[in-house]
Amino acid sequence: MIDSNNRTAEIFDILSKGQFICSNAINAQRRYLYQYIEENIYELEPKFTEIGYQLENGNNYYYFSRPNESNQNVENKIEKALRWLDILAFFTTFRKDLCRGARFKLFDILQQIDINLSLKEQLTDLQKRINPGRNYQEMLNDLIREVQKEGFIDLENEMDQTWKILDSWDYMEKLVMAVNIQDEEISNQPEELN
Amino acid sequence: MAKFEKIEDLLSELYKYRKLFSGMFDKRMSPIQEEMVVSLVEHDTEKLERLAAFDLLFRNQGLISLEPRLQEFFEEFMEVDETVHVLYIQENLDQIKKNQSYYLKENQPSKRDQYLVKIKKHLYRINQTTLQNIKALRDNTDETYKTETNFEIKKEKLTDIRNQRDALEGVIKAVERVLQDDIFFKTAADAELQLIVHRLRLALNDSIHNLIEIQQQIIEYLNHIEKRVHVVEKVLRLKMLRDKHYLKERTNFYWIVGANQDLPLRKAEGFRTRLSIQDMLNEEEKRKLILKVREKQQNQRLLAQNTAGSISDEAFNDKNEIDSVFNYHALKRVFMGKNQDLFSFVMHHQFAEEISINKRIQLYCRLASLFEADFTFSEETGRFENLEYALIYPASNLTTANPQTTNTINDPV
Repeated sequence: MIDSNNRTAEIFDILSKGQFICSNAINAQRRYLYQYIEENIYELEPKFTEIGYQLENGNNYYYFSRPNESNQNVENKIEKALRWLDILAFFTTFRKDLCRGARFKLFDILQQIDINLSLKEQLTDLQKRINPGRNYQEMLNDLIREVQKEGFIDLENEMDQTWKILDSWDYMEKLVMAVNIQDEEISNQPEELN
Repeated sequence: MAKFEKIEDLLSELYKYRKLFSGMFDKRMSPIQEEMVVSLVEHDTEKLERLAAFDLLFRNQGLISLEPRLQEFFEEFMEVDETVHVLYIQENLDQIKKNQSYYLKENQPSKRDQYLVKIKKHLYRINQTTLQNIKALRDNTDETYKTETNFEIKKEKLTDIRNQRDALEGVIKAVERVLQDDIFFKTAADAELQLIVHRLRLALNDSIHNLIEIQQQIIEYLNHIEKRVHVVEKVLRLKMLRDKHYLKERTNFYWIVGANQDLPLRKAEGFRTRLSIQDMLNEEEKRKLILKVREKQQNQRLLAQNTAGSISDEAFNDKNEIDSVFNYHALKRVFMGKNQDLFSFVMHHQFAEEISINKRIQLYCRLASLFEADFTFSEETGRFENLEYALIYPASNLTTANPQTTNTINDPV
C-alpha cells in the first residue's frame, strides 16, 4: 500500500507539469511508471478525478487534462500549438517518416540544413525570436533541447547525439490531424483526437 | 577468355586465394578499391589480373568485386542470399515436369533411374530455395521498413516485396498442386522419392504459413506508411497556410486549440507548498537543511547588501525614547491606592529614571485629564514655585482624605 501511494505522487508530479509518461521513454524509471499506470489505471483514475485531473490514455502514453476549467489562457495555448506546428513541419521537412520510435542524429539534420534551403529557413524562423545571431548548429541544438523539454524526444546516445522520438510525438500529430481545412474534401481526414 | 580445364584447377585457384575471396565476399555490398586487397595477393597486381581473366573477379577502373556468378554461388551455400528468386522454383518445377514426362515414356530402367534422380534433385532444390526465399523475404521486409530512410523509395520497395511475396505464393501453390494431384508422385514406388516429397510438402506448408504472416506484416507497414503520408501532407499543408496567414480563416485550428483542455498544451503550473513548521522544529533532517540553505545564502553578496548597518551607540543612549512613555494606567492604579494628592504623588513618585520637573508637571496634567472620572477635584489649590495647582484625590478617598493645606513641595525624597 505504501508503495502504491508513492507512485501516485510521483505520477501526479510528472503529469501535473504537463509532461507525458511514455511507454518507450529512455529513462527506465519512466518506462516503469507507464507500466505501473497501465496496471493500476482503475485505481489511479478516480484519485486524480477527485482533485480535478483527468488521466488521459493516449496511444502508449498518458497525460492529464483538466475538463472543468474555464479557459483563460487561450492565447498561450494557441501560441504553443502554433510553435508545435512549426516544429512538426521542420522535422517533417527533414525526414518524412519521422514518427514515434524513430531515431535521428543531430548531425544528419545539420547536413540536410546545408543542402535544403527550406529547412534552413524554417530553423532560422523558429529560433530568430529566441536566439538571434547564432550559428545553425547552436540553433538546432537549442531547438532539439526545447522539444526534449516538452517531452516529445529524448537523448538516446550522447556520444553521437542520437535522439529517439517518444510515443508522445503522436499527441502533436493527433492535434494536427484533428484540424479541418475548409474547401477540402471532407473524406480526407477522420476526426481522431480523443 | 581463359577457362579452367578441370574442376581441380578451379578449386585450387579458389583455395589459393581463399583469403582474398572471403574478404571480398564480406565486402560484397559495393566494389572496393584494388589497393585494399593487394596485400592479400602478395602485392602482385598481375595475380588480380589473372583472376579477372578467369572470370573470378570483376575489375573496373581500380575498383574490384567478386564475379556475380561466384558471389551468388557463395551466397547460396552460405545461406545469406538477400534476393528472392521466384523464377528458380518455377524453373525447377518445369524441369520436374519434363523429366517426369521422359520417365513415363522411357522403357529402359537405367535411363528411367537417371530421370528419377534428376526429379529428386529438383525437388530438393525447390525445398531449399523456398525456405531460403521465405527467410530473405522476411528479412527484406523488416529491413526495408526499418532502415530505408527515403520515404518514397521505402514505399516502392515494400510494394515490390509484396509483389514478390504474391509471386512466391503462386509458385508454391503450383508446386503443391503438382505434388498433390499428379499420379506420378502418388504412385512412385521409390521410398526415397516418397520421403523427399513428404519433406517438401511439410516445408511448403510451413512456407505458406510464413507467407501469410509476412503478408500481414507488409500490409501493416504499408498501412502505416499510408497513414504517415496523410500526416505529412497535413502538417505541410497547415504549415503553408500558417505561413500565408490563412490558418485562422480557413481552418478550425484556433478553435480546436482553444477548446483543448490538456495539460501538455498549457504552461506548466507550479504548486506552492510550504514547509510544515512542526516538521521544521521536530525533524533533525529539516533543521539541517535550513542551516544548509542559510549557509549558502551567507555566501551570497546579495544578502550582504541587504543587511542594514550597525545601530549607532547614540541610539542606545537616547533617553527620550524611553521617557516619553509612561504607563498611565499603572500610575493611576498606584495613585488610587495612596492617600495623597495627585500633584504630590507625581512629584514624589520614584521612576526608574530621573524625570525633570517639567515632565512631572506634564504628567500631572495628563493623568488629571485622562482619568477625570476616577478622581475627585477639590476646591483647594496648592502652590508649587510660581504655579498654582488643583488638589486632586482618588475618588473613593475623598471622605477620609487628609487634606494638606499647603503644599509647597521642595525636593523629592
